Amino acid sequence: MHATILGRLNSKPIALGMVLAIMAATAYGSSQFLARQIVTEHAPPLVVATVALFVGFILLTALANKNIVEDRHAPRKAFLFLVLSGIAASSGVAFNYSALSLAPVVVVAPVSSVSPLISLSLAHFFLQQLERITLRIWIGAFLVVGGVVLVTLGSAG
Amino acid sequence: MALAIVFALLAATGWGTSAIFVRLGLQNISSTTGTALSLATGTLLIGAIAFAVHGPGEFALSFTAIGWIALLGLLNYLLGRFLNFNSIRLAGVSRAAPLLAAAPLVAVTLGVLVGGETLEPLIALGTLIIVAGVVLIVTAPEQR
Repeated sequence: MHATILGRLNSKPIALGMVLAIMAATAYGSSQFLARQIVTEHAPPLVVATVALFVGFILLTALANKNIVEDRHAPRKAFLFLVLSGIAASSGVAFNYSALSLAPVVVVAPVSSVSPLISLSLAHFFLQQLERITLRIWIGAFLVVGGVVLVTLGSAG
Repeated sequence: MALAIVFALLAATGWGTSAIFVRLGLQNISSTTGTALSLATGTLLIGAIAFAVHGPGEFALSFTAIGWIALLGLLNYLLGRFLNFNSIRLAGVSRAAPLLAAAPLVAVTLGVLVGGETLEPLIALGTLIIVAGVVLIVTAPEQR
Protein backbone atom coordinates (compact mmCIF):
# COMPACT_ATOMS: atom_id res chain seq x y z
CA MET A 1 0.00 0.00 0.00
CA HIS A 2 2.90 2.31 0.84
CA ALA A 3 4.49 1.65 -2.57
CA THR A 4 1.14 2.28 -4.30
CA ILE A 5 0.74 5.66 -2.61
CA LEU A 6 4.31 6.68 -3.50
CA GLY A 7 3.83 5.51 -7.06
CA ARG A 8 0.68 7.57 -7.47
CA LEU A 9 2.35 10.63 -5.98
CA ASN A 10 5.40 10.30 -8.23
CA SER A 11 3.17 10.18 -11.30
CA LYS A 12 1.61 13.48 -10.24
CA PRO A 13 4.49 15.86 -9.55
CA ILE A 14 2.24 18.81 -8.75
CA ALA A 15 0.34 16.80 -6.14
CA LEU A 16 3.65 15.61 -4.68
CA GLY A 17 4.90 19.19 -4.65
CA MET A 18 1.86 20.34 -2.72
CA VAL A 19 2.31 17.52 -0.16
CA LEU A 20 5.93 18.62 0.27
CA ALA A 21 4.78 22.22 0.70
CA ILE A 22 2.48 21.21 3.55
CA MET A 23 5.33 19.22 5.14
CA ALA A 24 7.62 22.25 4.78
CA ALA A 25 4.97 24.44 6.40
CA THR A 26 4.89 22.03 9.36
CA ALA A 27 8.67 22.17 9.71
CA TYR A 28 8.74 25.97 9.40
CA GLY A 29 5.91 26.45 11.89
CA SER A 30 7.55 24.21 14.48
CA SER A 31 10.86 26.00 14.03
CA GLN A 32 9.24 29.43 14.46
CA PHE A 33 7.83 28.36 17.83
CA LEU A 34 11.24 26.97 18.81
CA ALA A 35 13.07 30.07 17.58
CA ARG A 36 10.95 32.31 19.81
CA GLN A 37 12.09 30.33 22.87
CA ILE A 38 15.76 30.40 21.79
CA VAL A 39 16.09 34.10 20.94
CA THR A 40 14.39 35.14 24.20
CA GLU A 41 16.37 32.79 26.47
CA HIS A 42 19.71 31.82 24.93
CA ALA A 43 21.28 34.04 22.25
CA PRO A 44 20.76 37.11 19.99
CA PRO A 45 18.75 36.61 16.78
CA LEU A 46 21.66 37.06 14.36
CA VAL A 47 23.82 34.57 16.30
CA VAL A 48 20.98 32.04 16.36
CA ALA A 49 20.40 32.52 12.62
CA THR A 50 24.10 32.05 11.81
CA VAL A 51 24.57 28.88 13.85
CA ALA A 52 21.26 27.37 12.69
CA LEU A 53 22.07 28.08 9.03
CA PHE A 54 25.52 26.55 9.46
CA VAL A 55 24.11 23.40 11.08
CA GLY A 56 21.59 23.03 8.27
CA PHE A 57 24.31 23.50 5.65
CA ILE A 58 26.61 20.90 7.23
CA LEU A 59 23.81 18.33 7.57
CA LEU A 60 22.55 18.82 4.03
CA THR A 61 26.01 18.77 2.47
CA ALA A 62 26.86 15.57 4.31
CA LEU A 63 23.71 13.91 2.97
CA ALA A 64 23.79 15.25 -0.60
CA ASN A 65 27.45 15.69 -1.58
CA LYS A 66 27.05 13.42 -4.65
CA ASN A 67 24.36 15.69 -6.15
CA ILE A 68 26.50 18.73 -5.48
CA VAL A 69 29.41 17.21 -7.45
CA GLU A 70 27.14 16.30 -10.38
CA ASP A 71 25.70 19.83 -10.58
CA ARG A 72 29.04 21.59 -10.84
CA HIS A 73 28.61 22.03 -14.64
CA ALA A 74 25.22 23.73 -14.37
CA PRO A 75 24.83 27.17 -16.02
CA ARG A 76 26.29 30.07 -14.08
CA LYS A 77 22.96 31.85 -14.15
CA ALA A 78 21.42 29.02 -12.09
CA PHE A 79 24.11 29.42 -9.43
CA LEU A 80 23.54 33.18 -9.40
CA PHE A 81 19.79 32.75 -8.88
CA LEU A 82 20.36 30.38 -5.97
CA VAL A 83 22.92 32.67 -4.35
CA LEU A 84 20.36 35.46 -4.61
CA SER A 85 17.77 33.11 -3.15
CA GLY A 86 20.07 32.39 -0.22
CA ILE A 87 20.63 36.08 0.42
CA ALA A 88 16.91 36.83 0.30
CA ALA A 89 15.78 33.82 2.35
CA SER A 90 18.46 34.18 5.03
CA SER A 91 17.78 37.90 5.31
CA GLY A 92 14.17 36.92 5.88
CA VAL A 93 15.24 34.51 8.62
CA ALA A 94 17.37 37.14 10.36
CA PHE A 95 14.55 39.69 10.23
CA ASN A 96 12.06 37.08 11.48
CA TYR A 97 14.24 36.09 14.46
CA SER A 98 14.77 39.77 15.22
CA ALA A 99 11.01 40.33 15.15
CA LEU A 100 10.48 37.30 17.43
CA SER A 101 12.94 38.76 19.94
CA LEU A 102 10.78 41.88 20.15
CA ALA A 103 7.23 40.48 19.98
CA PRO A 104 5.39 37.17 20.54
CA VAL A 105 4.68 34.63 17.79
CA VAL A 106 1.00 35.63 17.63
CA VAL A 107 2.04 39.15 16.55
CA VAL A 108 4.92 38.23 14.21
CA ALA A 109 3.36 35.20 12.55
CA PRO A 110 0.38 36.90 10.82
CA VAL A 111 2.52 39.73 9.48
CA SER A 112 5.26 37.49 8.11
CA SER A 113 2.64 35.19 6.61
CA VAL A 114 2.00 37.65 3.74
CA SER A 115 5.11 36.30 1.95
CA PRO A 116 3.08 34.14 -0.49
CA LEU A 117 1.23 37.22 -1.69
CA ILE A 118 4.60 38.80 -2.48
CA SER A 119 5.69 35.59 -4.23
CA LEU A 120 2.53 35.50 -6.32
CA SER A 121 2.85 39.16 -7.25
CA LEU A 122 6.47 38.71 -8.35
CA ALA A 123 5.64 35.45 -10.14
CA HIS A 124 2.89 37.25 -12.04
CA PHE A 125 5.39 39.83 -13.32
CA PHE A 126 8.57 37.76 -13.76
CA LEU A 127 7.50 34.14 -14.29
CA GLN A 128 4.70 34.52 -16.80
CA GLN A 129 6.40 32.08 -19.19
CA LEU A 130 6.68 29.39 -16.50
CA GLU A 131 3.49 29.74 -14.54
CA ARG A 132 0.00 31.07 -14.94
CA ILE A 133 -1.75 32.31 -11.84
CA THR A 134 -5.49 32.04 -12.11
CA LEU A 135 -8.08 34.02 -10.18
CA ARG A 136 -8.90 30.84 -8.28
CA ILE A 137 -5.32 30.53 -6.97
CA TRP A 138 -5.30 34.21 -6.01
CA ILE A 139 -8.53 33.76 -4.05
CA GLY A 140 -7.16 30.62 -2.40
CA ALA A 141 -3.95 32.42 -1.41
CA PHE A 142 -5.87 35.31 0.12
CA LEU A 143 -8.10 32.88 2.02
CA VAL A 144 -5.09 31.03 3.44
CA VAL A 145 -3.40 34.23 4.54
CA GLY A 146 -6.67 35.68 5.89
CA GLY A 147 -7.33 32.50 7.83
CA VAL A 148 -3.86 32.53 9.33
CA VAL A 149 -4.34 36.14 10.44
CA LEU A 150 -7.65 35.24 12.12
CA VAL A 151 -6.10 32.25 13.89
CA THR A 152 -3.18 34.17 15.26
CA LEU A 153 -5.36 37.10 16.31
CA GLY A 154 -7.70 34.68 18.02
CA SER A 155 -4.83 33.09 19.91
CA ALA A 156 -3.91 36.48 21.27
CA GLY A 157 -7.42 37.00 22.68
CA MET B 1 6.24 46.55 18.74
CA ALA B 2 6.27 48.72 15.59
CA LEU B 3 9.86 47.68 14.90
CA ALA B 4 8.87 44.02 15.25
CA ILE B 5 6.15 44.50 12.64
CA VAL B 6 8.60 46.22 10.29
CA PHE B 7 11.04 43.33 10.72
CA ALA B 8 8.25 40.82 10.11
CA LEU B 9 7.30 42.61 6.88
CA LEU B 10 10.93 42.59 5.76
CA ALA B 11 11.07 38.88 6.56
CA ALA B 12 8.01 38.30 4.38
CA THR B 13 9.61 40.29 1.56
CA GLY B 14 12.83 38.26 1.79
CA TRP B 15 11.01 34.93 1.72
CA GLY B 16 8.63 36.00 -1.02
CA THR B 17 11.52 37.15 -3.22
CA SER B 18 13.54 34.02 -2.47
CA ALA B 19 10.79 31.80 -3.88
CA ILE B 20 11.08 33.48 -7.27
CA PHE B 21 14.87 33.03 -7.43
CA VAL B 22 14.47 29.40 -6.37
CA ARG B 23 12.00 28.75 -9.19
CA LEU B 24 14.43 30.23 -11.71
CA GLY B 25 17.54 28.55 -10.31
CA LEU B 26 16.15 25.03 -9.92
CA GLN B 27 15.43 24.71 -13.63
CA ASN B 28 19.05 23.61 -14.11
CA ILE B 29 20.25 22.47 -10.68
CA SER B 30 19.02 19.77 -8.30
CA SER B 31 17.12 20.90 -5.23
CA THR B 32 19.75 19.47 -2.86
CA THR B 33 22.54 21.48 -4.48
CA GLY B 34 20.29 24.53 -4.60
CA THR B 35 19.44 24.22 -0.93
CA ALA B 36 23.09 23.75 0.05
CA LEU B 37 24.16 26.77 -2.00
CA SER B 38 21.36 28.84 -0.51
CA LEU B 39 22.34 27.83 3.04
CA ALA B 40 26.06 28.46 2.43
CA THR B 41 25.34 31.93 1.09
CA GLY B 42 23.07 32.72 4.00
CA THR B 43 25.55 31.48 6.59
CA LEU B 44 28.31 33.67 5.19
CA LEU B 45 26.11 36.77 4.87
CA ILE B 46 24.32 36.54 8.23
CA GLY B 47 27.49 35.35 9.98
CA ALA B 48 29.44 38.37 8.75
CA ILE B 49 26.72 40.71 9.95
CA ALA B 50 26.46 38.90 13.31
CA PHE B 51 30.22 39.17 13.86
CA ALA B 52 30.17 42.86 12.97
CA VAL B 53 27.22 43.63 15.24
CA HIS B 54 27.92 41.36 18.23
CA GLY B 55 31.57 40.34 17.99
CA PRO B 56 32.89 36.78 18.45
CA GLY B 57 32.08 36.69 22.18
CA GLU B 58 28.37 36.18 21.58
CA PHE B 59 29.14 32.93 19.74
CA ALA B 60 30.41 31.33 22.98
CA LEU B 61 27.18 29.39 23.52
CA SER B 62 26.27 26.85 26.19
CA PHE B 63 25.79 23.18 25.24
CA THR B 64 22.07 23.58 25.90
CA ALA B 65 21.84 26.54 23.53
CA ILE B 66 23.85 24.74 20.85
CA GLY B 67 21.59 21.71 21.16
CA TRP B 68 18.41 23.73 20.72
CA ILE B 69 19.87 25.74 17.82
CA ALA B 70 21.03 22.52 16.14
CA LEU B 71 17.46 21.22 16.37
CA LEU B 72 16.28 24.52 14.89
CA GLY B 73 18.75 24.12 12.04
CA LEU B 74 17.55 20.59 11.36
CA LEU B 75 13.88 21.57 11.37
CA ASN B 76 14.06 24.85 9.52
CA TYR B 77 16.92 24.48 7.08
CA LEU B 78 17.50 20.83 6.41
CA LEU B 79 13.87 19.76 6.43
CA GLY B 80 11.98 23.01 5.89
CA ARG B 81 14.02 24.66 3.16
CA PHE B 82 14.77 21.38 1.36
CA LEU B 83 11.07 20.48 1.28
CA ASN B 84 10.29 24.08 0.33
CA PHE B 85 12.64 24.05 -2.66
CA ASN B 86 11.37 20.68 -3.86
CA SER B 87 7.75 21.77 -3.52
CA ILE B 88 8.43 24.87 -5.63
CA ARG B 89 10.29 22.79 -8.23
CA LEU B 90 7.45 20.28 -8.52
CA ALA B 91 4.33 22.36 -7.99
CA GLY B 92 5.52 25.85 -8.88
CA VAL B 93 5.48 29.04 -6.83
CA SER B 94 1.79 29.71 -7.38
CA ARG B 95 0.75 26.47 -5.62
CA ALA B 96 3.59 25.96 -3.15
CA ALA B 97 3.79 29.48 -1.73
CA PRO B 98 0.21 29.71 -0.41
CA LEU B 99 0.47 26.27 1.21
CA LEU B 100 3.72 27.28 2.86
CA ALA B 101 1.75 30.17 4.37
CA ALA B 102 0.09 27.66 6.72
CA ALA B 103 3.34 27.51 8.75
CA PRO B 104 2.14 30.05 11.34
CA LEU B 105 -0.88 27.80 11.94
CA VAL B 106 1.51 25.10 13.16
CA ALA B 107 3.25 27.62 15.40
CA VAL B 108 -0.07 28.71 16.91
CA THR B 109 -1.16 25.08 17.34
CA LEU B 110 2.01 24.39 19.29
CA GLY B 111 1.23 27.41 21.40
CA VAL B 112 -2.19 25.92 22.17
CA LEU B 113 -1.02 22.34 22.79
CA VAL B 114 2.31 23.07 24.47
CA GLY B 115 1.60 26.53 25.85
CA GLY B 116 -1.78 25.56 27.27
CA GLU B 117 -3.82 28.19 25.38
CA THR B 118 -7.55 27.73 24.79
CA LEU B 119 -9.20 27.35 21.36
CA GLU B 120 -10.93 30.65 20.66
CA PRO B 121 -13.82 31.03 18.13
CA LEU B 122 -11.60 33.16 15.87
CA ILE B 123 -9.09 30.33 15.76
CA ALA B 124 -11.73 27.84 14.71
CA LEU B 125 -13.07 30.22 12.05
CA GLY B 126 -9.57 30.95 10.77
CA THR B 127 -8.86 27.24 10.53
CA LEU B 128 -11.95 26.68 8.39
CA ILE B 129 -10.95 29.54 6.08
CA ILE B 130 -7.44 28.10 5.73
CA VAL B 131 -8.87 24.72 4.78
CA ALA B 132 -11.13 26.40 2.20
CA GLY B 133 -8.16 28.23 0.70
CA VAL B 134 -6.06 25.08 0.56
CA VAL B 135 -8.86 23.17 -1.12
CA LEU B 136 -9.23 25.94 -3.74
CA ILE B 137 -5.53 25.83 -4.56
CA VAL B 138 -5.18 22.04 -4.52
CA THR B 139 -8.17 21.47 -6.79
CA ALA B 140 -7.28 24.19 -9.31
CA PRO B 141 -6.74 22.80 -12.86
CA GLU B 142 -3.08 22.57 -13.95
CA GLN B 143 -2.06 25.57 -16.07
CA ARG B 144 1.47 26.17 -17.49
